[in-house]
Amino acid sequence: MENSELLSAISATGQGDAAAEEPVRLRKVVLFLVEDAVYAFDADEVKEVVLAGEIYPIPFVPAYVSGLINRHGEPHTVIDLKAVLGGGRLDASRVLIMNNGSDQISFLITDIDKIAEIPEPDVVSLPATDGGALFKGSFRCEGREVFIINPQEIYDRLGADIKSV
Amino acid sequence: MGYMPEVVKSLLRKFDRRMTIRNKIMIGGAGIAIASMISFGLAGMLITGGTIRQMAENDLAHITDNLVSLCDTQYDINQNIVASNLNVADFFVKGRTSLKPDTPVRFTVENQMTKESQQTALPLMTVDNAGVSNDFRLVDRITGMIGGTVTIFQVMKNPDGLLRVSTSVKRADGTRAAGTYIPPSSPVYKAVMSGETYKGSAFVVNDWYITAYKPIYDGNAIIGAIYVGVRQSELEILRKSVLALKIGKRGYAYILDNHDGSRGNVIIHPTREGKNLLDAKDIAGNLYVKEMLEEKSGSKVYTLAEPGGGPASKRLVNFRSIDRLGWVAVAEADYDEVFAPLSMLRGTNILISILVLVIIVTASVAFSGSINRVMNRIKGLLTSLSSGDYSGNIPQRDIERTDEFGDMATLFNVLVRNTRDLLEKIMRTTSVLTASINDLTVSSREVSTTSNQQAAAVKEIVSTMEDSDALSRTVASRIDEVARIAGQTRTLVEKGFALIQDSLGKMEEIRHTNTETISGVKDLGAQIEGIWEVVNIINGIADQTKIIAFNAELEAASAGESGKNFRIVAAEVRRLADSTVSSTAQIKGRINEIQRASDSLILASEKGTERIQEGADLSSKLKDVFGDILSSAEISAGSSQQIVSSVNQQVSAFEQILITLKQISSGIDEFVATTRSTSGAAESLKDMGEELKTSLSRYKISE
Amino acid sequence: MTGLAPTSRASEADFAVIPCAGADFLINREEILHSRYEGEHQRAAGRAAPVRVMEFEGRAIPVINLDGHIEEHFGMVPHRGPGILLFIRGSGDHPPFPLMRRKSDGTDVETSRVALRTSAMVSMLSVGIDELKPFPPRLRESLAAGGLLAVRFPRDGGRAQYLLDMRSTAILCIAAYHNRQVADGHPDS
Repeated sequence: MENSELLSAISATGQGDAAAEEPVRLRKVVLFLVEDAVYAFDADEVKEVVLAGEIYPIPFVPAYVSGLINRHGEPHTVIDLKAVLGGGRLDASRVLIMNNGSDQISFLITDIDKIAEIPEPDVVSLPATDGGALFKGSFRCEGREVFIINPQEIYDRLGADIKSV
Repeated sequence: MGYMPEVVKSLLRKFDRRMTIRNKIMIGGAGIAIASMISFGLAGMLITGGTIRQMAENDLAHITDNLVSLCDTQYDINQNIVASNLNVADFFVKGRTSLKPDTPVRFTVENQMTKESQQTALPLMTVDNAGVSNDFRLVDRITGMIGGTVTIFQVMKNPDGLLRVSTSVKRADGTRAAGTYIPPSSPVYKAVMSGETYKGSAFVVNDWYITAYKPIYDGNAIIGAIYVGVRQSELEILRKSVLALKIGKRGYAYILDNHDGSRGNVIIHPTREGKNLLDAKDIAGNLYVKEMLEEKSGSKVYTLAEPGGGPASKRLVNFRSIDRLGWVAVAEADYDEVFAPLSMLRGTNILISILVLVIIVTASVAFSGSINRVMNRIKGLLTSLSSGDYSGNIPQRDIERTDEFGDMATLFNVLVRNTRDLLEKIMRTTSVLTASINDLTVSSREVSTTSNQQAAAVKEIVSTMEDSDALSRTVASRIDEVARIAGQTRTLVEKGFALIQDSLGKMEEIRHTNTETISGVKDLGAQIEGIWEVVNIINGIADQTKIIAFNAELEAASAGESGKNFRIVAAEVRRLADSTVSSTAQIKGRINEIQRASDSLILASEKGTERIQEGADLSSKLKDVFGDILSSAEISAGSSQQIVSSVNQQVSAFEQILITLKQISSGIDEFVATTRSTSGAAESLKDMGEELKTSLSRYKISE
Repeated sequence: MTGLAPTSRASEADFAVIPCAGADFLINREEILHSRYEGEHQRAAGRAAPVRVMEFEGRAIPVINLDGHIEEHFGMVPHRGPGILLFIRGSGDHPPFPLMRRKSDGTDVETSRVALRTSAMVSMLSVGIDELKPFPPRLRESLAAGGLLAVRFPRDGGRAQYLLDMRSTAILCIAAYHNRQVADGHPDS
């Protein structure tokens, strides 16, 4: 193959890509660990990750609420994701602070993993069960099935549970 | 003796001839003594035995009398308690009890004698308007105040009887005995229904009680009864008193129940309380407890096997019935113990008999001995004379006797004395002659012997001196050699000592170097600790960096296209922090290894230090020992030289002595030859004198 | 009476502090009518009972065991000091106060005042009102019903301080105590 042919072949490949670039939407997700299991939140729902410091226990709340943390003088509710998912209490020191208006809610996790961009078609939606739609969907990442958690479902559950405490 | 058979006659004759006078007298005396003792002893024992048994039975009867009155007293005391308890209980129910016919209560009632039961309904019984039927609060309250047991009865028709509607009495299974009733046949029922208070022993549900029953009235009608009771067997004071009774060493008292139904129960007993002995048998198979309970009073002798399987013992018992309580009191003694004095008497009798026998025999011996002694003296003297001994005579006390034996002894003594005087004169002359000859012989023999011994001794000294001389020369040469070797030893020891001092110095150097090494390794450890802390700080920073980078990445992600570059940088920072964390983890691993290595190095070096110290200690000890050896070597070298010179002096002195001794020896040899000829003449003269002396010596004339 | 004096500064408020292992509790000074150290004789009887009635200045007053309440709901034990009674306004008519009004033995219990008893080392503290933070919205209502109004995280990083509403606490304690009594079948003890 001569250089001229080679050059045209190269530019053809680039044009082909550009031409094939359908508006494939990428979904940004934050991957994190609860003990050994990997879960994800949609990136726009997470505000930041912080080291928990002391968690202050409070009464009159459901068991999956670990207590409060002090974030710049503001109390934030800490929800134990392991307890929500039905696996007992988590011994960890990192919390994900959520973007949810003035709700001041955070989740206790073992560690963050990374931020990833997943092509939207790769995400499989999950049907809502009797308990509501705790997971928005799932995708495969590095050979593992990762579930995207629906935080709104947990907020709603907390709202319902706290009235019955 | 004419009527005796020929055999007896010949036996008596033999006895007469062969026995010595002394034995005849002794046998006669002993026979009479034995016959009289046997007859007296037997009669005494038979009379005494009967009397002792009579006395023992009387004693036991006294004890049972006391037991009966003790029980009676206790019973009276308890009756008083029951009477006062009844007053207290009556106070709670008198005038306060009534029946509510409009409120029937159902009961399953049981005849306490026949145990038959049936259903019935009765009006509710109330005290102070509170129901007591099947409600035990009131009776428990009263029981709490007075003790014992308390029951409220209600009069019942069809079946007729006194029904326990509320009671503190419990059945054997612990339930309340409410629902059982006293049938009309009972004296209690009869007394209560005719308006009387019944007192006395009564069988309540399952035990005998000292009791009192008093009617409860509602107006003029008897509607029930109040009962109080104290358990007849709960008599702790009585129990202690009975158990305290000791009869002899192995005897005791006890009390048996003789009520129908509980007959044979042991109420008080030192060891077998609570058992039933109605079927107990003695060794001959008699039901001895049953016999006592049937006969109620009397005395008996039984042989009983020990409960523990020990040897059977014969027991003497006296028993008496306590009719008011339906008990039988028993006092029991050990039969052998009772007859102990009799066996002691028997022993004493035998002892006295033996004593009398000994006295009679001793008297016989003394009497026959005095006759025998004189006869034996005369017999002995004659025996001596016939063998040539004229030295003896009959002693003065036998001659002084006034009987025929005395005269005979005096004449004998005169005859012996005359013969002895003659023999004495001949003997004296012979003695003087032989003594002179003997002197001569002895002195010449002594001279000869002494000279011979002297010659031999001097020769021996000479030969010994010759040996010693040779020995001294050998010793002198040996000692020379020793002195030379001692000198060499001293030189060697001095060299060794110097070497040891040298090695001791080297040892000290090694020890110093080793100590420095250890402290160096320890310093290293401390520095590693410092590194550890730094690594932990780095780790913490990396951790925080990772979180900050993540948050930056998150922020950039939400900023869309404009944040793309920033997001790449943030991701790189996070990866860098990640690799820092994994690097520090590796560093931590290395530090751990170094720490382990330096720890084991310190351990090894410290062990080495111990060894070095041991070596230094050993060398130091060796130095001390060598110092000792060195001074000993110096001393022995000096001493050897001194010995050499003194031995040489000794050798020359020996030579002088030897020459002188040889001259003395030849002089003595000449003297020995002249003494030998004198000795021969004296020997032959001595032989003649000895012959004369021998022929006279068979006569003995003095002690 | 202890020396609890009112404050005048608008941006700050005075609080009684009940120190416990793990966190402190703040009580609004304004809510406390008066306080009193507990005498020996008062300490002896029924200190552990959740609610009891105490003779005070000739009147029968309900006393609530604040320590027990804190221990039950927060799992914390107050730092021990002398017993102190904090009196607050009660109510004659507002439920559940009327439940306390008459005992079975006929004693009239005054319910216009209620005392809360604690054996914590109570001290006073002035706090800037802006330092007190409301709880996250979803918890706010539930915690307020349990008597918790706000939280403060001191700037120096010390322990959290919870603002405790005494009246709500008293209502909670009396109601819980009565429910238990009725459940146990002792309506009059």
